[in-house]
Amino acid sequence: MEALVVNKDEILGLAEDLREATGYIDVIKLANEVGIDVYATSGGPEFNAEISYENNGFSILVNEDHVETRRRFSIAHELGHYVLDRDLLLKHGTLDRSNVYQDTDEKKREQQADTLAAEILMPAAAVKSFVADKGLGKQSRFESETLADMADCFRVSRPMAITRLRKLGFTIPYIEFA
Amino acid sequence: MEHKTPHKRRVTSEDDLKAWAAEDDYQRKKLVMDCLTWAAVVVIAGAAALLVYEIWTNAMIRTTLVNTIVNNIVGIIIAVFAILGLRPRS
Repeated sequence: MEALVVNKDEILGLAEDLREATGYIDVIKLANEVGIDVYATSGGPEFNAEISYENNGFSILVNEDHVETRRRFSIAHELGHYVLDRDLLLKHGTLDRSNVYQDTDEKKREQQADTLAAEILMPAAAVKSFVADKGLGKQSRFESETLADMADCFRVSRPMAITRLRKLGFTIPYIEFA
Repeated sequence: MEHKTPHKRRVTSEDDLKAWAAEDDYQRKKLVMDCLTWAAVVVIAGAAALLVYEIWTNAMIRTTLVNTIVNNIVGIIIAVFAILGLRPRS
């Protein structure tokens, strides 16, 4: 399958289209739309996912034993690498993550992929709309149930929902929700 | 990444993964139930065989049993037919 060359805005647009069409973002369908095959495997607790380029095609391998929210984030993270680190993937076939977080560039790449994954799974406009529907604002106090509802709505983990809200400028106190 | 796996399967949507997880779970449970069922069959068959062997090798019990059957053969035949006749028909 020939993968499309997409930038950050384009993949976010595709994600938004999927969300509007089906009510949520199926990250596997999103990867397929970009032209990336997704494979599932039983890979042990340490393995999350990886993206690779071989035989002129990109593919993502994900650990099917993980819970749904973690699988979704792992795939979105690899999509982040596809968008942000495509040149490295084309050059090396895969990303060398043997020294995770020891190399500054590597750490930066991982953080950028995490950030893009969060944007894919929880688009800013959709999050703001969800918060507005609940009658809340940037300085509002978020109840635990609201955060749980949001996590369910976007099919992400609660810590991820909290991190994304903080990134978007909402006040989520650390003392209550570490 | 150093991780390599020998077995992988293609997925086209998140529903695939959920369906497979449910199917794998069902197959695991079915395997456990099948194993338990066969274990029970083996235990019961073994116990029955042991019981028959014990009865047959005990001359007094064997004689009593044979006499009981012979003396009540008519009643036994009627009972067998009655049971067969009472079986629900499909």
